[in-house]
Amino acid sequence: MSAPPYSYSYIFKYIIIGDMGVGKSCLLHQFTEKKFMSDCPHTIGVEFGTRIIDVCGQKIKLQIWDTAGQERFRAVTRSYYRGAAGALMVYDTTRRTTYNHLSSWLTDTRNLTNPSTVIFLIGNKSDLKDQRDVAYEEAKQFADENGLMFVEASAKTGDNVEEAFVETAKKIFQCIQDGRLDLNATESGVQHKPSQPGRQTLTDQSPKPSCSC
Amino acid sequence: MACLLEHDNNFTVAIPSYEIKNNVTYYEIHVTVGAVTWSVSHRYNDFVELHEVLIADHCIAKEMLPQKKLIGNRDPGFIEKRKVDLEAYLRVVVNYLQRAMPLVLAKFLDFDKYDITYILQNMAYKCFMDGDSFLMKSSEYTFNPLQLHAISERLQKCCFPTEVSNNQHDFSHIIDFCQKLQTVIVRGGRSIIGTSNIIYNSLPFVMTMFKSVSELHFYNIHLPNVCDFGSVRLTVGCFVINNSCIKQLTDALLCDKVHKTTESSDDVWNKLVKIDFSWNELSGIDDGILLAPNLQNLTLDGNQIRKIENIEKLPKLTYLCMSANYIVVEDCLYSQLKNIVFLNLSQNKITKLSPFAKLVNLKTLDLASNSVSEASEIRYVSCLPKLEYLVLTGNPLSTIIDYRVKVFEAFGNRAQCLCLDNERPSQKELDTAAVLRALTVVREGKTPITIPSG
Repeated sequence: MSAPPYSYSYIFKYIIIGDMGVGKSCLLHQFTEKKFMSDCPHTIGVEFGTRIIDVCGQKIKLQIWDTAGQERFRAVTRSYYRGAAGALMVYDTTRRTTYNHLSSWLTDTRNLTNPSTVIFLIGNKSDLKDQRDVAYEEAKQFADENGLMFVEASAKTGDNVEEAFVETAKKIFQCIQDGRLDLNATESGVQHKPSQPGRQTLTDQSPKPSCSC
Repeated sequence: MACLLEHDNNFTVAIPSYEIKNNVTYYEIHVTVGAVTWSVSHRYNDFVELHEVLIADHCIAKEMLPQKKLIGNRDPGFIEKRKVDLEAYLRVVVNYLQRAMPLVLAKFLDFDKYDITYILQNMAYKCFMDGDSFLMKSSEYTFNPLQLHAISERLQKCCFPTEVSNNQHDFSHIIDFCQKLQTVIVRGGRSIIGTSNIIYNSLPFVMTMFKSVSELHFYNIHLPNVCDFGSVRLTVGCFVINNSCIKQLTDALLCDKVHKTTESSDDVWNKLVKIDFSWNELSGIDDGILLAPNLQNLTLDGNQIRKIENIEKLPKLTYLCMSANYIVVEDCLYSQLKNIVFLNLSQNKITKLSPFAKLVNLKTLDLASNSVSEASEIRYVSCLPKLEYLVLTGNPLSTIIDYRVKVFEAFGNRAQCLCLDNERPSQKELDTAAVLRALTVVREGKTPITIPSG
């Protein structure tokens, strides 16, 4: 595995939310590893992944928190909303209940993030065409009414997965360029990282834990 | 480990004493958060510096700090009074700013050394600033249990609202850094941390934040504190635990499991090829070894093992090092060690070489500092066809006159390939051995038997 280059100019923090079993972890895995995890265990608390993408000629590192969908972890997962620049809200196109819960997820997100957080709605499992339970048009309308970006995707085939993550980043980047998103504001979830590889100034004082034996 | 967020009703500061060093008075501040206490000492000038920042940024009234005094400030009465005033000052400031303690105050009180929130802030900042450049050069990092405990708490507990004051303090940076590490070293200890009453080895932690670790080293760790190995169990290839008092292999390989049985396939360390559990309290090689079925390299120096057992369950093992144990071998080791190429049993209680006679794959045999005394024992190892390195120094046998020559004599034609006690034979030794062999032939009228009949 080739080591990822450690050069990028921005860090965007994302969270992935949605009901249990809608495929949040699989979406993350498909995005970071380009592989489908067929027997993905239930997430305990939170998982984490990163990937560096290219948006408008800028290298951007996405730090993605994948949260547990189970209700019992809600208290833990809520502490990860804060400071997210992008929120991917996922439902399962083959299970209407997961779609019905979207409004409560949206309320949570709006309450716990800042107004500039980009919320992207993903209808996962689009490959299971004959089991469809939520029409595209219906979800599209919900997204439009609430000002969300929307796409139907499949973590299994990889269809639209890349797009969802990248489009979110593009939107965030646009907000930065428009000046709608203040880089210096706390909770913006975006950090400028001007440092370039090869910068050695602070490295020698790199964290060395004290030890006592 | 202190956590101010959880104990904000149980937080006190006091200045019980002072100390004069090099004509400067240091006031000893005692901080108590819940059950955790620590002390930190500052001189008056440090208070002044702190106060200036607090006035500027946090609306603390200017006249609150006891006044400066240029003359007579070493008078014990004055110092005593100042001590009381400074304590009152700190109490008011802390009380006023406790909910959102500014970093400057937290640092003044050493919260960044003992409190989860501030330790994490510190680590996050370092990971953000230096994490990438560090990872470019190295994929190895040494943690202490305090740091791992802080990360674990953050992963499992609900809300840590203080991070938000600065994006650079975001917890993501720490996890990001941890996930990329390939070698993780954890050094614990039974000592207290700094001036606090926290003990390193009293802190539980998880390993779930490490996703690509191939090498894991624990030094001086209380294994029962490792609550969850997470995916480390699936990725790690080399596992070192030294000086950690483990008594059984399962203490290490199953320390995060409730049921210490070796049956579940979920608990197997499939990628593990190298184990070094030296300087512990292992009394034997128990069934726990089944949890590392692909092991190639096993080191168990400095334990309390008496017997070689269960090695036959490791078909891929070729390297075995069990120096400084209490091993006695009586019977043939062939069934246990037939695949072993490198064997180190130095500093044990071995008296005989006959058990090694059939270990035909041995290339290196180190039996230094055992109790082999009879020169006649040499013939049992001289027949091993691949043996190139033999160490017998420190045995009574090695004090016999012409010991080296006797060994080379037993090895016959292969003597020149043998490195004995880290030394190749000299020409003189080879010549003498050859003469001795020739004499034996003359005396007995036949080639000496070097291969034991049994």
